[in-house]
Amino acid sequence: MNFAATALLWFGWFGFNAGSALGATPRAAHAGVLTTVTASAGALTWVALDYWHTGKLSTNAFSAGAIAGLVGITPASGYVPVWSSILIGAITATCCFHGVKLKVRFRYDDATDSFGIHGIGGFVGSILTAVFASKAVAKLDATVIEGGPLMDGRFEVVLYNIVTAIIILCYSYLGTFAILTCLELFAPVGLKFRISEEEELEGQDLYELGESVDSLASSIHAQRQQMIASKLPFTSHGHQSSVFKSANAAAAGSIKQSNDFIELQEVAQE
Amino acid sequence: MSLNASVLAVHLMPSSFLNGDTNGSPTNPFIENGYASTAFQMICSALVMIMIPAVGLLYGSFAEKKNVLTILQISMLTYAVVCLQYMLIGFSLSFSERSSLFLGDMYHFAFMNVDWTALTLTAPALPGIVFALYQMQFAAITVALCFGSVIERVRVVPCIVFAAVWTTLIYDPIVFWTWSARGFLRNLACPSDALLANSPCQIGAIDFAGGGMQPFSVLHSLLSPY
Repeated sequence: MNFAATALLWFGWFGFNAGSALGATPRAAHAGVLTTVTASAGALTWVALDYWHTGKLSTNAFSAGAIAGLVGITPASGYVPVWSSILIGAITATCCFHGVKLKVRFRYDDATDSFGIHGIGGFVGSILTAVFASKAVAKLDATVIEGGPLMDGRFEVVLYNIVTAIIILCYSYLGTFAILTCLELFAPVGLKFRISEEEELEGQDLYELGESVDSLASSIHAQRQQMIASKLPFTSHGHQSSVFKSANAAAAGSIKQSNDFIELQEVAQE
Repeated sequence: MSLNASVLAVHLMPSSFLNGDTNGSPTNPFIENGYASTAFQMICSALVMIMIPAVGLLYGSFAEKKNVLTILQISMLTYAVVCLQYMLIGFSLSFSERSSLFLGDMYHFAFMNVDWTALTLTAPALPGIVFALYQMQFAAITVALCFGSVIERVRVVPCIVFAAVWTTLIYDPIVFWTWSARGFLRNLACPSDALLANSPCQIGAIDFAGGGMQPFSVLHSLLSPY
């Protein structure tokens, strides 16, 4: 599942980066190339680091590295030369590899290492964008920029990007905190964010959605077995059709509901 | 066979090629004929859309089996909510060109005035409606990514409400600042020019596809008090 998700994300990221050129231009193609090269570099870096630490070639490490690389190249893809994408992938993946360990150090809770990969990767990527930015690449679709320190000897853009990253970080942090505080005022009318202990034990799928990965398949199976055992014809007359309707409802529900259905069917047979 | 192919090739070549004036040579830029960019951008919109269930799958792969469907459901419900929000007010807030340095106005409320004309300062190569479709997918993927650190800890309904509020109050302004023609972060070097009618200088922070948007993932550290 992790692997399929990473593959789909990598696929979609072509649209994300190349599409940001806002036109079918050489710059879009450039962004597409950078996307896949950086993801590869990031994945290899992460797998190598992970192998060095654990001695295993984990698929999770590959996925994490690929996504770290993709996040790192996102702000840079239309600005930096192709060779730098290997460096960006490697640097971002290394930073994220060490970044995800921060949650142990600072004891915050992060279910999917989202901050370690997206937060740190985005921040590092923004700054590397400015460092490697090149006039020549932006010119691929006739965009004029000043260029960065390495390629064009201009330092302002690094400053601009650092200021921007900090402004956005502060705004989104404080703003999100304010929104959560306001929404929490509505907790008594059913907008309580955190799940209850009961829900945590039962599983959110059954508790909130009324279905689960297992019961969906098994309740339909149980229903078919019942149909065959009782030799109910699949016709549309009388009480049998209403039984059939309730069977459909049960199929969409949980195991509990499919038990109700069995009882209902027994009643119908009487 | 090879003869036919070469005859065909000559017919398909633009006349400028025959004059020795190659399209895409070092001296001549590519010339676009027809609607290449429009088609390209619509394909890219679909590619970005597929990332949303992919994000659900990715986060689902970290979860216990009993919570997986909820995570997929949150990602798709969020997508639907954000699409509606973006159509109604989001696009106008983040890309209206008749506005101040900090936030768009309601010129494009409910995609009014979004048609075949381009937003000339922001995306000159595209019809406005294609640009809007693409940005809609962008808004949706950003909000879907948002829930990464809180999965298995939050209920579905508050997530949907949060998505609608968050995309309006946090995402749209940040997009306006960094991508819109007159955003102040994009014009850091010349904020006074940015307000003038025709030509914001656009010298400032550079962010091609939104790396600066990523810090939202601190969501969980904020949620912990609740």
